[in-house]
Amino acid sequence: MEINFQHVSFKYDNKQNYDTLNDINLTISSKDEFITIVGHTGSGKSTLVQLMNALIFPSSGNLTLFGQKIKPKRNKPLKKIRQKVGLVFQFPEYQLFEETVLKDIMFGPQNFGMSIDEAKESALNIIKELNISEEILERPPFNLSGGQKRKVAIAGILASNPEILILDEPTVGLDPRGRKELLTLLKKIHEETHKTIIIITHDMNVVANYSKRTIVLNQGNIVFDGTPKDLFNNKDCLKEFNLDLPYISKVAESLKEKGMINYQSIPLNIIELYNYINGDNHE
Amino acid sequence: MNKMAFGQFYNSNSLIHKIDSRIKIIFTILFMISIFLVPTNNFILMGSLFVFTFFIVLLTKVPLNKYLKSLKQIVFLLVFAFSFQMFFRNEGTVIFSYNLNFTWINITISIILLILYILFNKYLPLKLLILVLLAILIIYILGIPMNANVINNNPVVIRIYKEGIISGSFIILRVLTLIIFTTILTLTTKPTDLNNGIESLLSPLELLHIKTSIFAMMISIALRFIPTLFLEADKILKAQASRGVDFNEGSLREKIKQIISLLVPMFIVSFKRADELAVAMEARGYVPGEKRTKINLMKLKFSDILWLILFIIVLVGLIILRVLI
Ligand SMILES: Nc1ncnc2c1ncn2[C@@H]1O[C@H](COP(=O)(O)OP(=O)(O)OP(=O)(O)O)[C@@H](O)[C@H]1O
Ligand SMILES: [Mg+2]
Repeated sequence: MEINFQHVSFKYDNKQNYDTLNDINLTISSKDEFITIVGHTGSGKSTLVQLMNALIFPSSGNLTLFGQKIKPKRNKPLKKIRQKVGLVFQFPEYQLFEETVLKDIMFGPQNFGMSIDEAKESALNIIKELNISEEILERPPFNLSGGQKRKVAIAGILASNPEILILDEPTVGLDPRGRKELLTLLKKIHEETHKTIIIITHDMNVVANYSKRTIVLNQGNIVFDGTPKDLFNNKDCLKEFNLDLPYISKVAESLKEKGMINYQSIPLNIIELYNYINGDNHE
Repeated sequence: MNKMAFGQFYNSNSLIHKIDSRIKIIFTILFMISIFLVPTNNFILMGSLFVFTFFIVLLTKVPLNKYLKSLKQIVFLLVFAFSFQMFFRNEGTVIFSYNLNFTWINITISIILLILYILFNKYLPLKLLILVLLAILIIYILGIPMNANVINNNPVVIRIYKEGIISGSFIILRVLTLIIFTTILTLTTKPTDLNNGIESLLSPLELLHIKTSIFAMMISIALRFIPTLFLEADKILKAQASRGVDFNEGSLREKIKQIISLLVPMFIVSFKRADELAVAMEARGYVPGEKRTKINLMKLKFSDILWLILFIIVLVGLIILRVLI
């Protein structure tokens, strides 16, 4: 397994007397996983993914990334790991600094060893996929709109072609169309290349519709790690950690309350719901 | 990041904490003038000011190690000032003299020691102490007569004069008193109170149409946002690191690029913050230069006046002494 947490704890400041992350055990492969991480504000989601990118080091426990052990203090060069694990930050618009949008997208790939031409090609590909309009490519990135900046920042990570892609609340600030496009692109990347994709989100529809595995964090602890289906069928868990249901499931729930349909396992998408309504689903 | 102790205020409910911040600022200035009025090498006067300062330190009920911490930052300065006085005074009574012989052997040994120090300096505790000891050791080694080729035929003689040591010690005492006293001010006054105090003291300048309240606001905003900017810098550093920027390696050209990748977003973020803050302040009715009311009105107490009088007496006493002597 490429990402391996064993009893990992983390605190931001050694004087702090509680752990931001507590006894984390987690393994993630670099192939064929599509994971969503959920949990309320301040539960440690962003901290967890920064550990996966070796931007911060565990305070205790064993963290291994692509075979390299990450020690609490001094570490061997980490550039390789950061190349393999691409992380899009929660507020990625902070990182833009180049003269033009295009150059900024090419910055990451070049750092990770691509030549200028390769970087440009890779960048242009992503730009097309993300539907970033050509006319902003030569503009300085600073006076783009918030959503445009975010797209540019995401493109910068996608262009360096990491093996694992982590996005920290990537859809915040995008319009519905941009949101859909981004998620569809991620799904496409996942299906075509089998890369592992990890998304932090507060949107249960994303959890239900895109991910195969979901991790719930609560006060620095992993309290659930399983399929979205299991999560949304676990009423106690949802209630205890203040998680919502996806829209479709809500609809299904009220239909069930009215006695119009019946099901064992709550439907997560429109097709499942349709099947229940038509009575085609025999579980 | 929280180590950035601006306004290292330490909360305790002491007599000194309760003094009005304006009075504290004024008497700190008065005391600084007093310190500089003490005639050179008058240890009795300087010593009494030091003891006086120490009494006030005890009154503040702040743990002594807080003071030691602020002194730690100036140890180097003190050592430097003392050595300077010791070695470069060259009149008066010699109490110690030492010949330096520059032979190959002596010089080689000294250079080796220096190189060892530079190599291992990272791992040593108490760096400054070791550096001073090393300097003494090297001077000692250079003094050992060796039967080898002398490079320089007329040996250099180090002479240490009594006067040098005396004035060196006096300077140390003076600087110590000064630093400890100003530390009292910052340890016992909240940054906001300090700021309000300065604003209030400068308010007569308003008569000259200088808007002191604006400057006071600027200072307090700066103090408030320094830790925020450090957090911001940390975020940007991480974001760039995840894009493959490695601040520990790279050629000069790459280094420059790395620094730009940090600085540009820093500027952008700061300007954006400033803009947003300005809008937020205006939305809440702040008009630059307009008169503002305060939540905590500063009122002088009787005891404040007594403190002020005490320091005025010290200052006047010193001025009289100066005139008499
Ligand atoms: N740089 C930092 N220094 C100190 N504490 C921090 C830092 N960053 C986060 N924290 C603290 O760590 C805890 C977890 O923060 P984290 O950013 O991981 O939460 P999150 O789950 O991503 O929340 P959100 O949904 O709001 O993004 C919070 O209590 C936060 O205050
Ligand atoms: Mg977060």
